[in-house]
Amino acid sequence: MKLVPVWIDNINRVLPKGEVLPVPLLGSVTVGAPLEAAADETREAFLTRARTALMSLGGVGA
Amino acid sequence: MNLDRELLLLGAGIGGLLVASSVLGAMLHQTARSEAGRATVANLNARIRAWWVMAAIIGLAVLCGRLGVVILFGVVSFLALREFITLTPTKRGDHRALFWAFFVITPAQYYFVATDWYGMFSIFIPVYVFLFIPIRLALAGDCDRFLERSAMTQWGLMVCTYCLSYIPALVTLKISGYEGQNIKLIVYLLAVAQLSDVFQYVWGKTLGRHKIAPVVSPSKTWEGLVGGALTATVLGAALWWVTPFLPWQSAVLSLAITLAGFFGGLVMSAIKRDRGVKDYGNLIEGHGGVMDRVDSLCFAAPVFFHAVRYFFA
Repeated sequence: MKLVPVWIDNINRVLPKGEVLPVPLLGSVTVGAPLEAAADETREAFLTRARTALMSLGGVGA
Repeated sequence: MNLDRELLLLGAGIGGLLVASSVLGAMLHQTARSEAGRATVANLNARIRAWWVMAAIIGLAVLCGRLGVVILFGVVSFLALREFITLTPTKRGDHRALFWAFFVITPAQYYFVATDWYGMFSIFIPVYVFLFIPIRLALAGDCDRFLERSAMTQWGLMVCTYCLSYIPALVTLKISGYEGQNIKLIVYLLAVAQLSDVFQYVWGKTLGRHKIAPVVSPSKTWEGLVGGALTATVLGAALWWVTPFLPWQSAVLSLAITLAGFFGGLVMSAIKRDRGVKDYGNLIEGHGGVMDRVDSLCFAAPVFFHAVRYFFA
């Protein structure tokens, strides 16, 4: 099974946690390369790799 | 609706200008040799294509009359405010105030224009909203950069909503002998302001040497400003027949539109530079965002409106 990392930029400003009404700011959606867990990869290693892939899409870095 | 002969002539003139620019753009595309030249011509042609679309949208709104222009500029304000607020570093505590700005304050301002309520239209944002924004931020309970955050939202509303709403508000002016023809003042303002932008660009690209404010906007030169202002003033004076003005009055007002517009562009550039971006958005091909196209109008519209209101209405 492949997992595709998708970063939605500005989403925390468009609709912060706990708010119900969104504000129409410009945003962008960045789709990364699909990830697949290797046969011998541990659960933690894959989660770390997925997290790094997602953060790098948002330009946040690991 | 008022489809008079002058409005038709004006529309035909603008159509002719667009055809001429498209032909010129195609010719330049054939002759451009250098890498930089090709890029400039490609951007020029993208701008001309966008001009066709913008002219068509404005033409359609003008044909729909008063309500058409109110709705058009209401949408433009909304889009410009969106780009402006996206660029400003707002915080979570601004969220509710921003929701009000987009969905209550901006529509209300255009409602006041549509209903010809001048007393409210002219003070709503400078007075009531000015008081409301800090109240809403204080209720949200975040004191961090409080003054700066109040000012950013107020500024966005002043520039994107209040100043731009002066364009459709031109139809509400009562000028004796010009009743029912005010829509032509909107076309006149848009034409002079945009011709000024275009000719500042043309003169700046061809003759520009001496930069006015190199740090704020490297593309603005004295040659571009003087050439653009003179060209737009002459063209504006030559359009006196669509206005209630005499030719010399039309020249003075065109010069005022041009200068206010120039400074509008300069101020908006300073904000972009501060935020580290080149354009406010990418909605209009070749031009950038909506805010990049209307920056000069934001400053020119209120000046033009009040000058006409003071001297002619």
